[in-house]
Order: sequence, then structure tokens, then C-alpha cells
Amino acid sequence: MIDTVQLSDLSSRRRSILFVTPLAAAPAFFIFLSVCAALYANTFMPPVAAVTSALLLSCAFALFCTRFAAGGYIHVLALTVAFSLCLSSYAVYGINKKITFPNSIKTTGSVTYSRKWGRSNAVVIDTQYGKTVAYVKPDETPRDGSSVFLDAAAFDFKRAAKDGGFDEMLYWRAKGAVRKLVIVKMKETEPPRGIPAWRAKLYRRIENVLPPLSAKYMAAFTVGTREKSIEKIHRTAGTSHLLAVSGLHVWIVAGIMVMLLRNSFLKFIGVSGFVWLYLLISGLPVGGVRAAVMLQLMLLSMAIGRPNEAFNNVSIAGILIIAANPWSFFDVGFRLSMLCALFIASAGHFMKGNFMHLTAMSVMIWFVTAPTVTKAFGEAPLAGLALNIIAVPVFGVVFPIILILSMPSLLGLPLASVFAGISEFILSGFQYFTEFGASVFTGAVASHTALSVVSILLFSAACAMRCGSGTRRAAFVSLFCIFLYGVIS
Amino acid sequence: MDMRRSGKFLTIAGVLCFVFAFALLSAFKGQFGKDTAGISSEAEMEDTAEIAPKQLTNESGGRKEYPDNDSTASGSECVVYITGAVKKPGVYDVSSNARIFSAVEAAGGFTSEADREAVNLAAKLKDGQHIKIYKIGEMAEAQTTKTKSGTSSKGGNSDVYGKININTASKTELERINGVGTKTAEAILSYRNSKGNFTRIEDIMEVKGIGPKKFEKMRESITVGD
Repeated sequence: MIDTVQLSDLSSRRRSILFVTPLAAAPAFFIFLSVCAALYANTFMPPVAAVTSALLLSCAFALFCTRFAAGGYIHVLALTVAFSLCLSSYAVYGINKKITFPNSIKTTGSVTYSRKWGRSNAVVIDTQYGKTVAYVKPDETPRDGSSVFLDAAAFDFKRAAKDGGFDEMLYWRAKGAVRKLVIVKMKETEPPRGIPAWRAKLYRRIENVLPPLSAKYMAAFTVGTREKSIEKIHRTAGTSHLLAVSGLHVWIVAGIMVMLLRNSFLKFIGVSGFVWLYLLISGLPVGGVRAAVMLQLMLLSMAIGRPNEAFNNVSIAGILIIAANPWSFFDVGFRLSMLCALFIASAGHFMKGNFMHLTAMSVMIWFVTAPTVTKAFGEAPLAGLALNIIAVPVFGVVFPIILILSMPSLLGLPLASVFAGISEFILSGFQYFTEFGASVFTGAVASHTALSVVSILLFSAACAMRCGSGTRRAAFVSLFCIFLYGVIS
Repeated sequence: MDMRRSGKFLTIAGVLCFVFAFALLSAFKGQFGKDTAGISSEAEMEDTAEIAPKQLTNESGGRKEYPDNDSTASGSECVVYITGAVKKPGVYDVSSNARIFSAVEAAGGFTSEADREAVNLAAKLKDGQHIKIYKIGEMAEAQTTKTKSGTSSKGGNSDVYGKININTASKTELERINGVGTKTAEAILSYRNSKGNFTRIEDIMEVKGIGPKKFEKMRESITVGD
């Protein structure tokens, strides 16, 4: 940044000076903040007012966190505001854009994804009118990746009956579907092909060749299909984030590839290609995409010799995801993923890697995400507060081991049953630990104002500190945010 | 600019931005945090104000009485022709928001011979509409005649192609739809009374007991009118 360059003469303090102005530390954060605030405000304000208030909030944050204006500050600020205005307006436009969709359709489409949905299956079908979703009986579900002929009636998604209830519209719009179809007739016209077909094949292979527990976990880690029994255990324990393909999984997969590849150019191509293939197979989960974009930015900055900051990269990833589909903002997975990643990138900057700091970080992440969890799922298990301190690092070891031990079975190599047996033993131990932990740390917290206040306090203070505001200004920023939340809500 | 002075200036600017944002957000006090409500692009097909159910206000003399739509400020006038088993058949001016019961009331009410079940009193009126109130037994007779002669229905609740208007059809008429029995007809009437008119034929699948297969059978024989 311009101000960074002009301050470069202070070489002994370069690292600290680099982040003395928020626009040098993370310009993308303020753009992301503006986009999110605009989308949030648009749920209860007209679009123009929403974008204006979002811009003002973003500017307030950027200006207040700046301790002094270095040369070129105004230019960078103007550029950030211009980007914020454009992207916020684009996102709000995307949300308010009317969709033209016929009442009834007779067309062809391709099945991109299907998953269990109560007694039925939810099938996402890509048609010429846009992505749609249909709930069909399991025996009538077309195969993933197949082309189908559709005779169907289109309906709007249902809204949440009460605040905090399941909102069908927000859930499916965040996944790209624009209408719900009630199928009158549907038949496969072409056999499965492409990535969804590979995903289905891999899922069948996992189910057929791996022992039960390994199959359940591998299905969750690879194709994104979470079996109910293990999902229930991890939900009670507050560790369900370990089952969803997210940043942790992506970084582990990338780490394995980095170890396997030696040539730096091959490393760049290999890691990028393998991570995106992994995400395509797992159905492009939003947390995974966020991590993959961050990884790409990190690799790119390393390749071109530019400074690389996780906090700024998380923000850029968030902006790109929202630009691709503004409805992603309403996705619980996106919110949790972004909250965690931004908090880790900001608070982690001031922490050492010792046990006390890691424990404090885990506890703080629980508090930062708890209001979002309670709003989406009704409660946040207290077990998660304690278990994640151990479960996350343990998982960091277990996941790559399971991945490697499952390969012989999946590839039909010799001694596959021995490796699969070891994998099953490790997973049984991991599951026992999770169940035991959940039985010891019982109870859960429901949505509460105090929880929201703590979350806002921690998150805003960490972000402000990371932007170089200093402790005193960070405290003021937190108080501003709590004041805003308290008075308006 | 002096660094210390610039810091103060930026702080003041930041506080001002915050105050302006706060003032703007305060104008929408009480709405904050309701991110599952009010997204404008998604309220078009199922939840429009036009089909909001009317509240029952009084019940007397065996006949349901609804709020007088004629008194609404927004309603412009329309003209309907009402004949059959009413006390004063003729042409009447009613509000464009009015429903059939308003026209029946304007025509002096039902005669003692009127088949009150054969007409959907909650159905909305259209300008230039002809409403015929059948006498008891007259409807069945008319249907028998049509069946014998093999002609398609051209009654008040059916269009020129013989399609049955699911927004105005009576229970007896609904039962003539392929795949609709007494229970389903009652379910359609109940849905219509509680949620208002159907805006498109596909909405009939929202009625309990009507799935895609039944809809497929009936889709060619039903309409929602203009």
C-alpha cells in the first residue's frame, strides 16, 4: 500500500508499522464489512438506505481505527469506498432482482446434487431457467449427474414460520436454487456424467469397501454426505464442524500435497488442482471454498512476491463468495466459517502457539460463534466449549491418517483390510472420546442477549486490533458496536 | 499533514460517520436482526396481499357476513349482472374488491328456493360478470342435461373451453373435475376460504390430498379465470 511504502524507512519497526493503518493491513476487510452490512440492512431497509448506512459504518470503522494518516491515505480510502459502494450495490441488487420463472415447465435438466431430506430426497436440478430443487421419493430419485426430462410446477420456497425457524428460501437460495419444483413427471434421459457422477461413484465405493464407521466418516470428509448417527453425536458434542468439509480439511489436504510435491511450480499447480478437485467432489461447501480461495491468494502472493495476510485473504474470499451468489450471506455455514476465519486471523495475530493461548482461542471462538449457532439450531452445546480444545487438534491428526489408511481399500491395494481395520480402530476411539465428552459436559445455552454482547465485543475488538487501532480505540469500537446493537434491536 | 493532527481528524470523521449511520439505522428501529423477513424478491406468488384471507366478523341467521368491501377507499366500482334465485335480479354497481355475497346482498338476498351451497359466496367479482344463482335441484338438472347432450360446460363457473374455474366453482362443480371427490372438493373450498383465490392452477397442489399425479389428471380441465 502507498502508506506502507512511505513508511518503509522505519525498517526496524517495519512489521508493526505495516499494520498501523487499517487500510494498509486489510483494505478488503472494510469492503467485506460494507457488503455484509448492506445485505443485512437490506432485510429491513430499502436498498439505497441499506447501502448508504453500510458505507457509513464501514468508513466509521476504517477512520476510527486509523491512528494517523500516512501519505496517500485519502487515495486508498477513496478506492476502498468506491469498491465498497460498487460491491455492496451489486450484492443488494442481486438479492432484490426479480426472477422470471414459468409456473409450469416441461424441459430437460441435469441433476447436480441430491441429499436426504426427511423421508424424501432433495434433488438439485440445473435447468435452462436456473437451478431448482425438488423433493422426491427415494425410489424415484434420479442419479447424480444424470440428465432428466422434467414436467413440473414451480413454487416459491417457504419462509420461516417464526424468527429463528428453518427458512427454506434462505437455505436453498444460498445454495443457488431459485425455485422449488413439484414434479409431475421426471425420467432420466442420459446416464450420469461429470463431477456429480464421480461423486456418486466414490460414495458407492466408500460404502462398499470400507468398514462401517470409516465409511460414515469418509463419506462426510470426501463427498459431503453426513450420516445421521455420527451427525447426532457430533452435534451433541458441539463438534459438527469437524464433519463438514471446511478450512481445516482443505488445509490438511493441501498440506499432504505440499509434502508429496517437491518442485515449487508443480507444488503450486498440484496443490491448487487437487484442492479444487477435492472441493468439487465434496459439492463445493462454502467453508471449503472460502479456505481454497484463501489458499490460492496465499500461493499467488508467494509466487509474485507480495505480502500475504490471512486477515485480508479471508475478507477477499468472503467478497468473492458473495459476489458469486449474494444469498450466500444468509447461509449459516458461510457465516460460521467467516466468523471463525476472521477471528482466528485477527486474534491469532496477537497470540503465541502455547497451550494456554490455544485454549483461550478455542473458548473465544465458541463465544464468537454461539449467537449464530443458537439462532440457527436453537441452542449451542456447552460440550463444544470444552471438547473443541482437544477435538480440533486431535482431528488435525486423525483426519489425514484416516484419509491415508482408507486409500488401499478404495484403490484395491494389498493389505487393505489391515489398514481399514486400523482406521476403524482410530475412529472408534475418536468417537468414544466425543461421546464421552458429550456425556460429561452436558447442557446447552439458548439464544440470549448477553451471549450476543460477548460475541460482538470479542469479534469487533479482535478485528479492530488486527487493523492496528490499538487497545483503546479497539475498546471504543467494541462499545460502539454494542451500543448500535443494543439501541436498535 | 501532521500525524497527530491527522489522527484526531480521522477519529472525528469516524465518529461522524458512525453517528450518521446510527441515525439512518435508528429510523428502522425494531427491525434490526430480522434477517428472515422482508426480502422483497420472494413474496410474489404465494403471499400477496391480494389473496390474504378475509376475517369472519359476524355470523347471524345462518349466513356468514363479511366486512363490507364497498366501503374501502381503494375499491373502484364495477358492474355485475345477477339473476336467478335472488329477490331483486338486475345490474348492480359494486366495489371492484367485492365478493359474490355483496352482489347477492345488493340484489336483496337469496329467495327461499335458492341453492345456497351451489355458489361460492367468497369468490371475487369481476367487472361485467354474470352471476346466476340456481334454485335447489336446478344445478343437478342442468348438469344432467349437459351430460345427456354431450356438450361441454358453459356455466358461470366454467369458461368457454369447458374448464372449471377453481376460484368460483361450487362444491358440486368441483366434484366434476377428474379425480376430485367430495372430500377433495371440500378441501379445495376450505383452502380457498382460508387463503383466498388461487393465482395459478399449480397452486391447487397446495390443497391437502392433491399431489402431482392428481394434478396431472385435472390440469387440462381447470382454470383460475382471467
